[in-house]
Amino acid sequence: MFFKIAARNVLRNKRRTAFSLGVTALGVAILYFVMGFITDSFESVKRNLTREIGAVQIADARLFDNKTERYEHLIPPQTLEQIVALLQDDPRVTGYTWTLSFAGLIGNEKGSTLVLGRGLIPGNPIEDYSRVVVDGRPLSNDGTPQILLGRRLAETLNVRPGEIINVATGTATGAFNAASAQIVGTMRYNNIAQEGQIGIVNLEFAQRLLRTQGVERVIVQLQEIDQAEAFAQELREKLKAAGIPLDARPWQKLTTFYDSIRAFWSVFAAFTTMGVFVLVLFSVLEVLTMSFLERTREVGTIRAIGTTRAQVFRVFLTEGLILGLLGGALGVAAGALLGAWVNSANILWLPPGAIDPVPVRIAVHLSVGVVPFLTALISTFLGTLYPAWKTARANIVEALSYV
Amino acid sequence: MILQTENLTKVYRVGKEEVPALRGVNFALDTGEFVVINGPSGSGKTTFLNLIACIDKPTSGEVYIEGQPTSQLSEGQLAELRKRKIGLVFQTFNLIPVLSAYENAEYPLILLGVGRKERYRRTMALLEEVGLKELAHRRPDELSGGQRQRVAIARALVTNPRLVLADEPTANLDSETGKQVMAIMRRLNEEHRVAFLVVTHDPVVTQYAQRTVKIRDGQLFDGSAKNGA
Repeated sequence: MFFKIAARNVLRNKRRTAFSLGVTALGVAILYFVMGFITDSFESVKRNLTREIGAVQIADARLFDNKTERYEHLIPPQTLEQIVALLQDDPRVTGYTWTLSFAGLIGNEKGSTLVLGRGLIPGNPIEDYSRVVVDGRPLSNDGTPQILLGRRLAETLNVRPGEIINVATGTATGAFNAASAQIVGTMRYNNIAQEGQIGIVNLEFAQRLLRTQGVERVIVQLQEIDQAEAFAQELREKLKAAGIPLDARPWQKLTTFYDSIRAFWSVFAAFTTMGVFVLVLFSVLEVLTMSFLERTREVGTIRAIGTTRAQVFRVFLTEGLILGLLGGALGVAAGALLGAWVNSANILWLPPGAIDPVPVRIAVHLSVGVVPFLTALISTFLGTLYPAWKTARANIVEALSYV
Repeated sequence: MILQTENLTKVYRVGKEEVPALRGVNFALDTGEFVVINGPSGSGKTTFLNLIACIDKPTSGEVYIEGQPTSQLSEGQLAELRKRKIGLVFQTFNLIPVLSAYENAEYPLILLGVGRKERYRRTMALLEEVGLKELAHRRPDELSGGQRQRVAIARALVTNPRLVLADEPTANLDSETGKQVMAIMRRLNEEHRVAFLVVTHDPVVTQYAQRTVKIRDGQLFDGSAKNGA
């Protein structure tokens, strides 16, 4: 009966109920949308990040910790073979490659500038930057020296694909070396500053420049990115057992970017949640205070015929909870519909750290709705407490004569 | 004896001034009696009824319900006493607007924890007695004033209380409907052997009384000292 009274009272003043349900549903829908966007963005940033740096990397610990002075960290060919043996039959590994970086000068007769070179195997299963070529073509495996320049670097040097450019650097042993390569294309990059310095070359060319057979790091891609930490730990033990003095680190330890993005968005989500919480709390508080006050005489009546304060309090709380449940459910449904619409609209944006623009995606599943729904429920519950407590405590005689 | 009051006094404080509403009232009501307390507006009728109904506390004196003093009872004990022993009929009917006539009359039985089947049997029996069986599903705003008051009477009697207190039960009804409502109350009083105490300023209501007591300036006259108090 108490639930019946509460439920019918919710529908008693339809305009007022529509207002509180509307405010609650709107807040929850906004929160759902933000949560859905953040949830998907975390995944998107993670996917984009690991697409470039892999799920796990194997290298000298000094390289990871930026404690190398020259090229003492390079992995010799025989060690590389041992690492490949550890990786090639593991079903969790979907691909691996190795790279060699260097810093040097790049230029021609018109001028020169600093270049951050990255040697890689064209067509490797992880990243060869062919998807971000904006002019010309990707690197190929035809054995000739080739370079893919960052778009801004090409603009600085005023060069175009097809032209020859000189690259100079110190060798692994500290000598000076220089060689020419053909610019096969220009590429865009997620970091504007790095787009003005980056040059991607064939691994062989990088090794020739540095006069080494070694590589800098092995990049491993996994079936499940979330297994990276456990896989890296296992790999560390295997490397140690094989007597290989290298370290294996998961992607989370290789960059602070994801953590900083996550921290920023978590704060954003917390503020949005707080905003919605306060909005719903005060709207419900105001509406229910008015609504309960109007029923003071009824409270006097049911108290006079034997209803306890606690029972009256329970009726009002139930009313608030019904509002919260309905508002929360409506908001989650509206948020999910809005999310589905945005997903189908294919709106593009460039997530932090991504090279390619991606469609704005809103994660639409039940788990996204949990926080918005609970926010509605808790805020309406708290918004109901005070007016319910105050009305339930009304003096019976005064309540009966309330006009 | 179902009800007795002993030197019942109620003083209201208005600012710094004390306004006495009841001045040492002694009153007794026997089981199955039908008593009307008649007095003008401001004479203390409703104050007296509120104290007997245990919804207000006297400044001094005592109310005994079936010999049990009530002044020391807690809020919860008073609520328990009201729902088990006292039925209330209000001037403005005071039905719960969101409940049907049946649900309004059934409500006190839910408070008592009576089972669904028994609730149905007792509620429908009473609605039939007040002539509203056919309108049981209607909400208060779909009933006339007289019908609403009859629902309120059914609600007051559904728990088989020992005492029904009615505050100006005909004040919001036309005279013909008022007479019908009083006739129903009188009949139920006789059939159920439940004591009725009706406070009113309407002299017509006194026609239905076994005993009439006058109230003026917070004091009872005439039959008030029936039991020698």
